[in-house]
Formats: sequence, C-alpha cells, structure tokens
Amino acid sequence: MIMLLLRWLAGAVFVLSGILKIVEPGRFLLDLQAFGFISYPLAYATALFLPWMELFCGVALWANRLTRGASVLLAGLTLAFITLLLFSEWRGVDVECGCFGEWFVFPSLGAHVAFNLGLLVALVVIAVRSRATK
Amino acid sequence: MTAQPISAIAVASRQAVLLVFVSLVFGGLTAWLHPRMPGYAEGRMGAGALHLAAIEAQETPVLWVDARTEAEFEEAHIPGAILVNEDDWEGGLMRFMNVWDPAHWVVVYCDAETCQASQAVMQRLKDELGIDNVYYLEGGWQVWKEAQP
Repeated sequence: MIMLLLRWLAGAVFVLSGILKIVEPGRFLLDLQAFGFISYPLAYATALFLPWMELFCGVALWANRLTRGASVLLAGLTLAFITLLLFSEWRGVDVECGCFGEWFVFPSLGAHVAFNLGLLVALVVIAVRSRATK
Repeated sequence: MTAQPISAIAVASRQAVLLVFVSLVFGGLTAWLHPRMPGYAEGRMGAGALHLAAIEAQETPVLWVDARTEAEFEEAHIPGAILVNEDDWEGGLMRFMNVWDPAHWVVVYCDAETCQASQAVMQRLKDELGIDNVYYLEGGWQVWKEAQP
C-alpha cells in the first residue's frame, strides 16, 4: 500500500512536470539557459528530451512497469537537479526551475530542496523495493 | 549469493536504456513537429535582445511591455508601457490587444540583466499571437532608468 502511494505520488510529480514542459518547450529552454553554466547545445537537447523522459518514467511508475529503471533514472535526475539548485544559489544566480510552469512556484529555496529530497528518498525506496522482473 | 544484485542492476539498466531511447525518439519528433519549439538559432537566450541605444535610434514606434510584477509597475514604469506578466497573463493579453498595432515594435522589459521574465513574455507573445517584431530590452528597467536625464 505504501509502495503504491509512493509510486503514484512520485509518478504524478513527473507526469505533471513533463507535460507542462512539453506544452511550452521554449519556456523550459529559457529556464535551462538561465542557470548560466549549461551550454546552449546541451540546453536545447535537454529541452527536447528531458520532458519526455519525465513523462514516460512517471507513467512507468504509475503502471508499475519498467519501475526499477524509471525510478533509477528519476532519482539521478532529482539528485542532479538538487545539485544544480544549490550550485546556482551559491553562485548568486536567481533562477526559476520551470518545473511546474506557472502552476506552482516554491516559496523558498529551502522548501524547494526539501521537496526534492523527499522525492529522492521516495524514488530510492521504489528502486530498491520494486521487483526486478517488472 | 551475488547473482541477485547483479541481476537487479542489469534489469534497471535495460529498463533505463529503453526509457531513454523512447524519450530520445519523442524528443526528436518534438524538434521536428512541435509548433512551439523555437528553432535552434531562435531559442538562444539573447536572441531578440535590443540595446536601448538601438531602440532610440530607430524611427518605428515602440510599444513598451512591462513584464515585472504589478507592484513594481505601479511604483514606476516606462511612460506608455503596459503591464503584461505571467502572474495575470490573460489580463495582460487583453491590455496588449487593446493597444497593439502591427506597425509598432513591441519591446518587453523586466527588472535587470539577470531576470528572465521579459524573454519569457516575449516568447509567449510570439508563440500565442504569432507576432514577429517582439524584442526584449537588454538590461531591462535598470538600464532605461539610468539612461534618463
């Protein structure tokens, strides 16, 4: 039951995040460039590819198919994102993550990092506890 | 004894590769087919940027669009500017449509060099209204304010 809840919640976060970026890829491309240390070719490729990966991995968590691969990919992504957020803060760059478009903006960096840390823990639990055959 | 962890890693890797591959295919289709994906040359931050001097040097009338918050707009703004920000996009769009003239340049500004709001609003005006002559002011409000006598 707990695993089902974790999969649904984590899946929902990435499905929503992926869809919002797929709808407005230009906006996400700007958000990526605003970090200031991602090269333009990499930002462009990421803006094309990453939203779909979020969507497919989120759906995989919901469907409980390819669960381990999806949770490992999303955990890596979340970890990279937390690092990016903290690095940006350290450099004094004011960025919007573009995670949920205009729908939701985190009130502070602390809340943003805490949310992502919670998500990371959930994804690690899902990766460890999911059955290898799925 | 060690067969299970290796198997689990192998399963995770195989699944991850499959998910990455499918995402790459759809990413490629996005580049090709998505109507709102900027072309490679158009999406670069800085594309569409105008220096204040360049705006002042040309003769085409300019419609200034303030992409900052409503509070900042109320405090002070470029004379004649209208407020269009993502906090109230629909309201801003209505104001924009009431005064927009195709013969004018539209120049969006936000607070300073580091803000992104002007570029986001510029992109949305291009995408949603299909307007070509939309630009953003390099350096934003701070640069305009410093240039005033």
